[in-house]
Amino acid sequence: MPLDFLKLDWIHPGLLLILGAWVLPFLKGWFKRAAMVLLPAAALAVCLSMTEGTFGEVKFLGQTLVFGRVDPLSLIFSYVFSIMAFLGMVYALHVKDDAQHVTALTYAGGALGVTFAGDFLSLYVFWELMAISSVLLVWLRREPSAVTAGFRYILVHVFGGLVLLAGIVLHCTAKGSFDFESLGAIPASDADWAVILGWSLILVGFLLNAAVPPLGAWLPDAYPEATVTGAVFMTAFTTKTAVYVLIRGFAVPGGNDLIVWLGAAMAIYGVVYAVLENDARRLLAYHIISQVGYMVCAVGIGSDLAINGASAHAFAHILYKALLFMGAGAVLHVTGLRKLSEMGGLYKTMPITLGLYMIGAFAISAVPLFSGFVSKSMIVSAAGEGERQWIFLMLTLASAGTFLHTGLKLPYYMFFGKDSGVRAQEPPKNMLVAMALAAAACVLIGVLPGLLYEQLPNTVDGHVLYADGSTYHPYTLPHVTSTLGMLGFTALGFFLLLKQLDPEPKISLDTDWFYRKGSSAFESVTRGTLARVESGFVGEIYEFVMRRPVLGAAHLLRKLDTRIVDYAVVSVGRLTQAFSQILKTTVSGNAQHYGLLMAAGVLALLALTMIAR
Amino acid sequence: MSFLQRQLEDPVRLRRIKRWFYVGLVVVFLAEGALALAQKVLPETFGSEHSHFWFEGIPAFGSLYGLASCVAIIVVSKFLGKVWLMRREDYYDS
Amino acid sequence: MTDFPVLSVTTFLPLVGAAVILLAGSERLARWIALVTTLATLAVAAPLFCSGYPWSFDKQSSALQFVDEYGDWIPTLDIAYRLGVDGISLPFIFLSVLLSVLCVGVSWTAVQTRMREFYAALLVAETAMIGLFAAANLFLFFFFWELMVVPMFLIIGVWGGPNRVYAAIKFLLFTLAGSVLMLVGMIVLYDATPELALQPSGMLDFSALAGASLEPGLQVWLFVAFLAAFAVKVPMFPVHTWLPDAHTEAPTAGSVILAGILLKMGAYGFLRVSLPIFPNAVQLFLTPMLVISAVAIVYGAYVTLAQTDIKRLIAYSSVSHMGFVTLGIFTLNTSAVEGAILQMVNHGIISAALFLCVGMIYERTHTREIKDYGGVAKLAPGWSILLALFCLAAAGFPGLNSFVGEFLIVSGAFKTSAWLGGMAIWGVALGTIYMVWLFYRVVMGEKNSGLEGLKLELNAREVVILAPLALLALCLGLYPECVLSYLHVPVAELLPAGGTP
Repeated sequence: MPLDFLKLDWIHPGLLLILGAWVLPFLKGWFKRAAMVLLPAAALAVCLSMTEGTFGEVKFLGQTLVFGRVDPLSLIFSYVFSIMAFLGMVYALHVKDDAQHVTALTYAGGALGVTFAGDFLSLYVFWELMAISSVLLVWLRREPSAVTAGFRYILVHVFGGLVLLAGIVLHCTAKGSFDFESLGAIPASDADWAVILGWSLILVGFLLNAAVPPLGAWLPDAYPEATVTGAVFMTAFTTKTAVYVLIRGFAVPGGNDLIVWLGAAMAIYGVVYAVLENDARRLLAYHIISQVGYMVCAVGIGSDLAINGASAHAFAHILYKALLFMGAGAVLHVTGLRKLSEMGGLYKTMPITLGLYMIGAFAISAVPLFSGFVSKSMIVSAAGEGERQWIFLMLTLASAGTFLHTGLKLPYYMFFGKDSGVRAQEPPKNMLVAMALAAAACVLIGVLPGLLYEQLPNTVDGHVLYADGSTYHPYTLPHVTSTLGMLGFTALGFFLLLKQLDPEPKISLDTDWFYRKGSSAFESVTRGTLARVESGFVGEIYEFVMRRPVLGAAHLLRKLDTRIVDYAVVSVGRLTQAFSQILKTTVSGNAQHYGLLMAAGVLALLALTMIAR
Repeated sequence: MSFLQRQLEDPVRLRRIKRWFYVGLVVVFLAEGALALAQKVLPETFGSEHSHFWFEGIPAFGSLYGLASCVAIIVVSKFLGKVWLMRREDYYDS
Repeated sequence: MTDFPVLSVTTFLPLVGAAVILLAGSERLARWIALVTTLATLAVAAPLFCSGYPWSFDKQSSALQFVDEYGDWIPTLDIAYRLGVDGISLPFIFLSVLLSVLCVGVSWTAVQTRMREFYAALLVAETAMIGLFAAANLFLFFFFWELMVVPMFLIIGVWGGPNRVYAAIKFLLFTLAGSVLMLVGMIVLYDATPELALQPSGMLDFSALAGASLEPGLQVWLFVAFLAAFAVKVPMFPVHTWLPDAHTEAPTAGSVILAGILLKMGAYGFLRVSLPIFPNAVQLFLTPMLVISAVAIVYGAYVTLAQTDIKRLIAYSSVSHMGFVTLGIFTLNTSAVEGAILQMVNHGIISAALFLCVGMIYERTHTREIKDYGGVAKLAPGWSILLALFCLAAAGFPGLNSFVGEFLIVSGAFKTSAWLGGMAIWGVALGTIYMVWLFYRVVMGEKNSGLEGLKLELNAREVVILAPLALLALCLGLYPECVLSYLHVPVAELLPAGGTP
């Protein structure tokens, strides 16, 4: 074993990234740039050299926490997360802002932490770490719109995190252990309320991070507001760790109908909204929702083929989505433009970016010879295998929509279309290199799918199998021809309806309406009513019940004191003067009297009790 | 002028590209249709054991469904947008 | 080692220091004497916190340890002088001793007028704090409870902010109103247990009282009497309104002691007095106490959100956090009670740290309004990082101390009722929101022009003051057993007496 000499049987790659991230600001010059790229590379190396098993067990509160659950499912996700961290850092090499690098690596490390978590508590720790570091990626753009979007983002994620925590508490109390194993199918309606609630809340917590509507409005809201390089990171980690935990926790062989329909609806939802979008990165964000919908749907289907499909699709998706966001981000970086209505004609000066972007577009559209073709089809076939014809149709519809937007609409309006007159240069070399690497990966997987298939969780001898035992081959004649037909005729439809698709400078309402318009109602309650209750009602009671009567009595006593008791108190007064040297007068002269009253009162009471004995 | 500019800005070349596109569409359409018919005649040769639904047997189903989907998505989404979802850009600013 | 009266020395050494300060007469020496005294107290108290040695604290025993007694203190009343600690009081003594040192440190340059009286008052307060937690009978408990009020009143009223007199008097009146009822209760309790006079530990001894079974009707009245005092101190809704004014107007050291220790005295009272001695009454009042706690959590959090003054914001968040504590205590299940006690320690650390941070920057900017801040990250990165740590800890971020306490309390709440668990979770959510929002408005965002030209970064003394709290936050977050291990035995002892496990 390579690490024997260190007496470690396992290094946590996530901790490697997180701790390494915090060292970065102290390095200078090319040291720092080298470290930026080497850290994720090292994490990838660690993941590739891992053996299966359980590592990193820690005792806590009488339970065992497992930080290193290594099996094929966690391994494949860890590979793609590390690769993504590497690509993202290459893309971000030109950024001078150290804070962005530290947060991005911490974010990636958190994702690795979630992937290897074998128990709910360590899962939760890394989950929250991811939420905090991703909101920083939004805030670090330092524009007012980013600030407010980030705030909404963190609110939603805090809420989601706490729903998850409530679910975890309920579930673990009922189960008696923290272990993160499959939660099984939906509980029977006569099960213990704690079990039902725990199952549901954990599911909701996971679904929120997966951006399932109606809980997913945070994604199109926040991702376009992040920094150019930060958004590339964000596309990969939050949603895909959610997919991972959904697979781990909720994919059961019998299937979960609720999740299947949610996934299919999600796939179409993203595509519908994308038609209306004007902001390039927001359009791509809606496509994330659409593609994750495929994965969620596969989790619901639950068969071996479906799980393989979800994992393969997640792997491919991270790579081509990153490429797409890199492309749109590159355009944003060199032109400062984000709205499609303002772009056009960029093909003249940015052909390389265009070319690399189109590779990503072909990948997401599942064009043969690209990665999407060999991964998305697994999910659709799994739907077919399960005799779910409506799901099959919905997913295919969404595929058409995907090509429509990412492969046709966006490049058309961004690079071609009416000439906006903008003549921009190609982006910095490191961004192009990162994009080229991602593009190469997309093509490689498409041409040699076996490389990916061998890593999938449910393979037999490195082959993906149907339920009936036959081997799954993506490149069959019917599959290729029907895909080409679908894509080609979608393109036809695009050109026929081109006029309808002109982007308008408008926004579309999503479920975030509830907390955006609704938040002003929230604020008026806290700022207005509640604060008034607190200072008014509750505070006023003090005024009338306590302060006035007591001080009134005190004033009365003071009069007694000065007029009548004074004479008898002379000797006590001498003592008081010495005492008041220590007490010293306050602003009003009353402290002496209060002090006197207090001391006298306590002494009197004590004397009373002693005498009364 | 870059390669792409030469291709797209010359009207003659552009028309040629469009023509090849339509040719390609027709080829794919016919290929799909032929395959579907061949599947009915010789099931084993042309790998139909993994199609589960009746509509997969329709000739050129992929092409037709693709066109229909595209049109449906555009029409429905635009309709939803006009009727309900689309607002001014400063809608949320208070 | 066992013969040396560790507790008595720890308790009264600060008082000696106060006397020295007042007699010495020099203003400049006052703070040095105070520093030496508090450090010496920490040193003398050190044996209490060790474990594993034959003379040190035994975690397996639920009896009082390090007992100092003088049986014939007040012969006519049969009250003995008896100090002792068990697993529950020990963490608070540690907190008192540590925070006193930090208070002296943070007041070093902040307090420039009447320094002798100030440091003397601080030391008297320290004596009162330690004495209260070390008291083995109710008489001493009450004595130190009352003793605490005087220096706090002075600290708020003399060295506080613009509205200090109002705040000090409000503090005084609220506290005394409760204490009067507690005194009456104590006298009645004294009367009701004459048999204790024959025991060597004397009247009003806690362990003896726990064994005496009182008549249920009497228990109810006594519970209410003591509730008045404890509820004001915690503070529970709706008698919490003294807290924001007192915390806000007090000087930094005052706020630290108030938030760090004083609030805990009330909850400690529940654990020491109400739960063991009035078990039947506790059962009866369980639901109202739980409901009030849940209301305090959510109400406190909402009002916190509306605050514009940083200190007031932290003060209101204490209402919410102490709501968690009382919620945990009154669920009466073992892990929740342990979590509540742990949370008291955590809150003591974190609130103290937050008030220290605010106080340090206030010394430079002389404003506490949030709108006067912004973009401090560039001007004072060290301060910002420490504040980030403490805000995250206050928000219950996993890996830092509050998470474990909140987790245990929430588990206990869910076991009792789903609604309580839900409200607790909602409280955590709001807690995270206001902390993150506060941090964002103060540290991030645009640099506020009003901060131009100020040297905001911390100096070495201030970093040294905050460092132990930061370390504690991390240690307790990663290894909460170091506090929880003290609690297992005494809490197990406490609960069958008080209610359901």
